[in-house]
Amino acid sequence: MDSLAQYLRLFDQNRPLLLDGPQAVAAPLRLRAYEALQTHGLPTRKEEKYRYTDVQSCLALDYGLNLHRRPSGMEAHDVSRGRVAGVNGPLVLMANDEVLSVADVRCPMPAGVEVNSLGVVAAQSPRWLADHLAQLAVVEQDSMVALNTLLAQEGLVVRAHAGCCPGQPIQVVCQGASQMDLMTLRRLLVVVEEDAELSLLMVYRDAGEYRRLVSQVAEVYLEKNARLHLWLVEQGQAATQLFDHVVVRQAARSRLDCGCFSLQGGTTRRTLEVCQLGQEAVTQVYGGVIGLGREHVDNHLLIRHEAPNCQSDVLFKYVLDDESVGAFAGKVLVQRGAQKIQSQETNANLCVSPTARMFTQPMLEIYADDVKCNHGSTVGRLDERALFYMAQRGIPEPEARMLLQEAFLGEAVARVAHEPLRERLSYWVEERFRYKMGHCNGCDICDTERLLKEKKE
Amino acid sequence: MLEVKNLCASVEGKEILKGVNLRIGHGEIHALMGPNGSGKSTLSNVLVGNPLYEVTQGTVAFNGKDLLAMKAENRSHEGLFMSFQQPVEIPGVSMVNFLRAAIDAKRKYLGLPPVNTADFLKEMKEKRKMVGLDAALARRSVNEGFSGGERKRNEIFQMAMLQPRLAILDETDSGLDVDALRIVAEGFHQLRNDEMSAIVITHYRKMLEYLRPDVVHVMMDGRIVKTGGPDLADRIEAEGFDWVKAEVGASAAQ
Ligand SMILES: Nc1ncnc2c1ncn2[C@@H]1O[C@H](COP(=O)(O)OP(=O)(O)OP(=O)(O)O)[C@@H](O)[C@H]1O
Ligand SMILES: [Mg+2]
Repeated sequence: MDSLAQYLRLFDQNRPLLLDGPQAVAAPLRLRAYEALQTHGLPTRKEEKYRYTDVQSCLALDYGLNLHRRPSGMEAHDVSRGRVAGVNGPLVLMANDEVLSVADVRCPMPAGVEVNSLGVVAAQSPRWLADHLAQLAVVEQDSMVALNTLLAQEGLVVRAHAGCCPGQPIQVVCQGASQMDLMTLRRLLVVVEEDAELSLLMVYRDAGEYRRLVSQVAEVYLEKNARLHLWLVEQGQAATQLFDHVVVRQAARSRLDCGCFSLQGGTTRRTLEVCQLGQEAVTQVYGGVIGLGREHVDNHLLIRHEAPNCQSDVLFKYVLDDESVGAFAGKVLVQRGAQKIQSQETNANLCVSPTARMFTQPMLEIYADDVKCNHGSTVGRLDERALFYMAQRGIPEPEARMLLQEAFLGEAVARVAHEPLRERLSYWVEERFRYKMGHCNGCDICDTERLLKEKKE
Repeated sequence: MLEVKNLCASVEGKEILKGVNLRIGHGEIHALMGPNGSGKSTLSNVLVGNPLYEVTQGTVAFNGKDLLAMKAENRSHEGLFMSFQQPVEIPGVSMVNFLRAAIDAKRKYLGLPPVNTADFLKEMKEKRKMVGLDAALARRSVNEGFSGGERKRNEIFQMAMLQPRLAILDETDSGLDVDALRIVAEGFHQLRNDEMSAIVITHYRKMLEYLRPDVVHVMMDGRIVKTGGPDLADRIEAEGFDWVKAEVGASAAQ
């Protein structure tokens, strides 16, 4: 409870800063969050939802917060180096929770799409913001959401106006940067209006010698017939802790295609809740996880089918090596009256070292009678027969293992519809496994580490 | 080029090979026949270094080198190839990436730079045509969804790409239709230069008619018990193994 008391005290000491002026729109939400935290406390592992990730010990580190919003020292130019090469389109650059730049003249934001910092939107459209902020991610339901709501000051708002259809994905690079151990709390709000289509790529990057915890709460609205590709790609480091909470609400005939790739990090906990409120909504979620060293990746999914004639398809694949730990809990809930649902959920995992561990828990809860739902999970090892077959052909074991692991994750990567991103992901997956083999030279993950070191010196 | 002396091997603690002696010269083709379970595949697997099998005794020299001391991949680089009796599927690994990794590993072993992509793809196309492997198959993952016969063809295709010095064909003929068998055999002869030797394991004379072995061996209960010319295969096809068994029994009783 110590760390909770510490955050509540921090809030109390900074009440004017967090409740007045530009932050006024969030004031009632913060007070609710405060109350929720006092009532429920921080999550413990006794809570089903947080069984596999020890939130308390993550928060126990003595992180600093940047409530007074001192600049990180990172410039847009530095952050832009972390963008996904080959993925063209408008670029949004963030350092911690600070928006450094939103597109530029070379590649402006397409017509119909508005991207702004939370602060700008709070000043320009407070009513609109109040209608959307903290409506999906409810503070009483999740204490990590409450903590974020209590202290988060900035973030990003992406709004695709009705009927707009920009071709290229919008790429948001979020770089961790600080000269101390830092906790960043930020919001993401995405609204895709009727008949609009949007592709959004979020890249979470972290490097350097300081420890950082990022808590991001994302609320995503898909209005009637809206379509969204949302890709979340994580390239952190061993000391990174990422709490990524995503809540999506889908109206009738909307389509969500969401890909989550945890390529590198320390502790990652992702909560993804999708609620299909309208008929004929389609949800596709897929993910690939690489666990090396002592990495910990926990994906917690909830797909709520509230309306009839909808579909959902979930595929998560993990490759866990060394002493890494993976967890996947995915519940598909079909409410009464949500007839003719088609749902498929698969979690397939490879533990390639004897010390890697995987916890998998696919769940189905159905209150309608006319549905087609499948779910399953597997935990396996590398196929010894395939390894020998490859050795016979002259492929040394490390290379053979890498090929098998890449092939395994390939099924998730293949679901990424945007070809340049798909190719880049394949490349990174390979780099990551090669890094393990000690062959990595000059990939952009290490490149950022080098850059940060140079900047410091 | 290959000299096997008193080779004994076991699997899961059970002794399967009980003193195999075998000598194969450059460019020779040897047929290996014998009843089911006599140890033919075990011998092949031991030669190529399958870790499931434990060598308990004996030596194997391959072009003067101690084969048993080498890792499986190095045996391959030295020119040993086995066409598997049951080739495995490797979902998600494309034939191109697979073969490229194999060839580049071998080139590295030989101190050569990685293969040039254009040359490699050209070579793949040529060899694929030689063994009659469909272009669509070569674009798929290794053996994934291949029929039994297609897998066997794919084994010969890989042999063509790797150009071994000693090829072990473990029942490559089983599962092949008549035409496929002929095409594979023709491919084999095209590849065969004076340098390549082969051990051909089969239950059928048809394969041997095509491949024309110099020597035929019969294996029983973990040993090579009889060695002869091509006519030995004819007699086995006609009469089975009982007479060999009787002969062996008689000589053992003496
Ligand atoms: N991996 C294994 N595990 C257990 N037993 C094995 C294994 N491999 C071979 N054996 C046993 O060793 C013996 C010889 O098998 P092997 O496959 O070498 O025979 P074979 O001569 O190739 O027969 P076939 O003509 O049927 O292919 C058999 O009794 C078999 O059951
Ligand atoms: Mg056999």
